[in-house]
Amino acid sequence: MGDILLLLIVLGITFMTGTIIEKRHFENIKKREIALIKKPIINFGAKTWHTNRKIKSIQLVTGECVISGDYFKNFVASLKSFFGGRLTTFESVLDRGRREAILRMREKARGANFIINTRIESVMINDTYNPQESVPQCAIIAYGTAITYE
Amino acid sequence: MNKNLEEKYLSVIENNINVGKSNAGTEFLILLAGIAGICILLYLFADAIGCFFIDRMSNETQIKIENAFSFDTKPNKAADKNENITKLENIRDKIVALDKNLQGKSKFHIDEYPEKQINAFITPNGNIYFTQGLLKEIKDEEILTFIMAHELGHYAHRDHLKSMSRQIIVALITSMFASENKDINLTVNSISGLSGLTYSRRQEREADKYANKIVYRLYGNNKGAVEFFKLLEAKEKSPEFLQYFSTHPSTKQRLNLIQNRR
Repeated sequence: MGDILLLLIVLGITFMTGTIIEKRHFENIKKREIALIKKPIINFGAKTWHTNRKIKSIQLVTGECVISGDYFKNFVASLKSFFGGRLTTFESVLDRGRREAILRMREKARGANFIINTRIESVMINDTYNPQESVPQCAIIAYGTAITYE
Repeated sequence: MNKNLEEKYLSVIENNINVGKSNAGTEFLILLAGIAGICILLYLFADAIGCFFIDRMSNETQIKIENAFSFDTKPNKAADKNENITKLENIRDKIVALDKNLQGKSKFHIDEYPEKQINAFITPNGNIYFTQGLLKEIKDEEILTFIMAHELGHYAHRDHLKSMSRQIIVALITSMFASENKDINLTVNSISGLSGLTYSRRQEREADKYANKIVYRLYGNNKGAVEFFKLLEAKEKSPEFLQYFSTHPSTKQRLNLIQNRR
């Protein structure tokens, strides 16, 4: 019965470490978001954008983040996917990834006035030949055009 | 920037609506409880079916099944027989004469098993093995009677057939679904492993009670059995809670079970 004990121990440890890491990450994200609250304004959606002011530079800015759930989160999600419903353990992971990616993009666009046409994409970086063995993860890319006035 | 807008942004950052509010730990426990509940229902169902048919099974069918499942054992040669085995055979004959359930089935061959640990076991077709460690350590006849009666009790209760049938039924049902999902399989196997151990401990307790009764009928007391468990307890070092991961109840519990019983 050693494997049951081992499984429980691994689940317990990854639950604790995962909770600590997630809490710290959220705190970090909040801090950075509050610090950037007045900095480059993001504009989603606009295909064309007009301004009468003189523009100094136009630049592509990107932010990427690859994020994965811990063993415990994957285990719970896997169990839950049998019965169906919201995979709440993955929701927090995805939220962290998205916010991290946007934050990185905004941090790259320091000094700019606007980021227009921002888009967010998510990709799975999987081993296509052996998807079952791959690490469950998600890569999130945020990109946009940073505009600086003169 | 507008002051109101800034406050709004701050509140969006603070109250994240994209993340579920439920705790992952409690969610896991609820899931686990649900799966365990389903497994236990499944086992109750399997137990009911298994016990219903096995308790009503005739002796001929039992012997047929046993022979199909058991491995070949070498018959005892006369030269191999030492005094220990003849002593055990005498005890065996005494016990078999007491219980009708044991008569006319297996011949209950007795043999030594080369191992140092104190242990004894019975194969599905009724061959009983005593380890060399046990024979070396224990010479007292009352203790040996208790051990023999315990093993014969398993046979009389048809425990081997019952645990086999329950495993087969559950394996059939679980293999129908949950074969795709690795983690579900792992959880179900762990739960059914623990449940199987609980069942096994119940069988051991029943066998102990049976052996206790036999010892009382033969000697009028169970001093030997109590002495035996005290001896085991003195040797045992593992903590009490580990019994939940073991096929036998803890020695302390077994001692309590037979001490205050006739």
